[in-house]
Amino acid sequence: MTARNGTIGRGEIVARLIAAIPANYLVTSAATACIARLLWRGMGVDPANASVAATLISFALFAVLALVAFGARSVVKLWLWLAGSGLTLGITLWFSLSAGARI
Amino acid sequence: MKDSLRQSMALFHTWSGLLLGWLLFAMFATGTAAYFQDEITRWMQPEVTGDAEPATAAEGAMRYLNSVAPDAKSWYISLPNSRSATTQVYWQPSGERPAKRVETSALLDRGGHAITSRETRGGFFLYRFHFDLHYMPVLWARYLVGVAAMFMLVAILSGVITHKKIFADFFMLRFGKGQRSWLDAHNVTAVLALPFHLMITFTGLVTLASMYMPWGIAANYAEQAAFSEAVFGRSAETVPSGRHAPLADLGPLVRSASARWNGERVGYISIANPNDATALIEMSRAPEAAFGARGQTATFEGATGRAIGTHQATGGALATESVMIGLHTGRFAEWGLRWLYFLSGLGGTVMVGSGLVLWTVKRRARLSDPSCPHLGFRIVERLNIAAIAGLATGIAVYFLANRLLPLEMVDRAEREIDSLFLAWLGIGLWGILRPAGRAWTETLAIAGACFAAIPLANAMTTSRGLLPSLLAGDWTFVAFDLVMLVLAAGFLLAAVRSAQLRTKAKAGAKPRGANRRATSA
Amino acid sequence: MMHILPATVIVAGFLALAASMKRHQRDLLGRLLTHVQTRSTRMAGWFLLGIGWAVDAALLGPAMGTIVWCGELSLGAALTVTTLNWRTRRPSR
Repeated sequence: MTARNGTIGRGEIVARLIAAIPANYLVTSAATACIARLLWRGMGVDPANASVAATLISFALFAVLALVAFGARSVVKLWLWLAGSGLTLGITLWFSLSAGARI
Repeated sequence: MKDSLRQSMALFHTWSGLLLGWLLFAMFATGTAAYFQDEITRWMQPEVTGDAEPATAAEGAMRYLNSVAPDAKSWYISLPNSRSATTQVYWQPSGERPAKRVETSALLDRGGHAITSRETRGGFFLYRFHFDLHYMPVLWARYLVGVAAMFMLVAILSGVITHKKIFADFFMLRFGKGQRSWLDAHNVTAVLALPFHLMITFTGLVTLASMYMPWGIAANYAEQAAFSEAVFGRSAETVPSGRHAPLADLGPLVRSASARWNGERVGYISIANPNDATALIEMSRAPEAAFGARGQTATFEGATGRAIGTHQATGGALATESVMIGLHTGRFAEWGLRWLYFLSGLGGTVMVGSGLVLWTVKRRARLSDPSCPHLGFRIVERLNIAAIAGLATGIAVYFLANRLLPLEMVDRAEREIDSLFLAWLGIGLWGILRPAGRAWTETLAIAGACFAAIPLANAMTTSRGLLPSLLAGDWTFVAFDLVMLVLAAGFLLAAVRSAQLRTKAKAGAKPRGANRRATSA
Repeated sequence: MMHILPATVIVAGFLALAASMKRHQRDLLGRLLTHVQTRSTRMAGWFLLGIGWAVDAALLGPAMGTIVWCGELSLGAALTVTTLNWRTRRPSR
């Protein structure tokens, strides 16, 4: 995480902070919604339990992603992964919602 | 690679712990107190004695509500549990005008009479403060508290990652060595109760999960109401018919609901359109009896008392959520486990507090000019005093106010709460105006003195002081006064230690080369 | 009062685990243990913690027993640390 001369750039801290909090929340929310729909539409769990299960997982997911945002060595890789997952999850969610409606 | 991960996690741990540490300290302290909220409430209402039985309490509540609000839109009754003695009632008056909560609620004794002798919010206030805070809309407070809880969770996880010798150092705690001993206090309270800290933080988030992460529900349900109906059953929302029909007796209904749940207590009764032909009575299990069974209700037709049905949402995730909430609130715990919860909570409070102090201790050693620290350091130092000594004094003053404020004072309950915050503010200001080292000693001493004054005030203003309670075998009152004395001793000791450390530091700051005691830090 | 038996077993377990660490042996026992003794003490420590769980599970059922066991673990560890502190208040340190 430290630069070659031992200091951490302010830009890097901002990039990691944005990754750790707002970007994290967006990705986690998309993942939670996808998991809820996957459990219900894909695996036959009743919708209430599917929603609750996904919500319970979301807090662990958010915490881990926040740690990764500061523990990962490369900020660039971190953001590529975040953006990629966010996009994939968002598209999956959109398809799932168009295919089968909500209660 | 491992080293840089530990470094980054150490930095992450420091900041996630520090930024909201003062709020977390308050949440831990009041949350810990909440484990004994019913006992605290009993102590704060010494005129109320004995126990209350749910069915008779329900009947008493119904008599009261029929006398003050017979044609309200809805009634809500919170029955006494195995540790409390009072019934809380709320009602929503007919007509669209929203009334002040104070005018539409009352606290009743087991006979159904309003308790007006010593108005207080009791231990219940400390419990609600822990997530609703005060002087702000509860929605903001809950979001803030949720953010703090997530900061806490990542602080715990990063703390574990960064603590490289977590097992080898497991049994090392040595008091009295300056920076080392603060680190030890922080490590020991954190590690010894690590399962508790992880559990309490995660489950804390779960208790308000749908506020923080509504997208799991929104993915499957177009309306939150549809989800609530699926989980909690149809809520009592019927249009009143206007035809008067006296409400069925609640006592037998409470007993029948309880019987259906194998004798488990009824905790809450919600009545829509009381005294109307369309009245609906919904009873829920008491939280102490709903570990893993949250949301279980029994519904009755109001006018006839006919049982309509029970509702219990089932499934692995819902049961898990219910268990998690049960673990957090600990209402299922009998007195032995409850004391363990309390001690673990105290440990967590010390963990947060020692972490905050540790930050200043470590930074002071790195200051380029110790007599003139930079602004950030000064802010943290003063906030630490305000958070730790300030809240402690505030809580002590809250209990003192309960004994010392005039019994017939207007808005007495709110004034008790105001005195908590006034004392907190006072200590905060003292901490800013005095030089930092002296401020610590003085404010800790004030906190200790206030706690010590509580058993005195109790003995002098009521008949349930420490000695009479000992003789009467009233263990709740005895325990409360003793805990106050233990807290007083703790804070006074801390004040003495901080004065000693200050003299030591002054002696050590003599000109270099002079005889300096070699302290192994 | 049913917590006393499992709690005692757990405290014994933690004391054994502490005694199986070189840095604590002098303070707890007044001498260093041999390699074999150290290993058996460590095994005894973990074993005793397991017995504590078994007692709690037998008394309260596996679910509640595990919860209470976690609480007793913290209590036992705290008591052990306090004991160690007490035993090392020697000027020669």
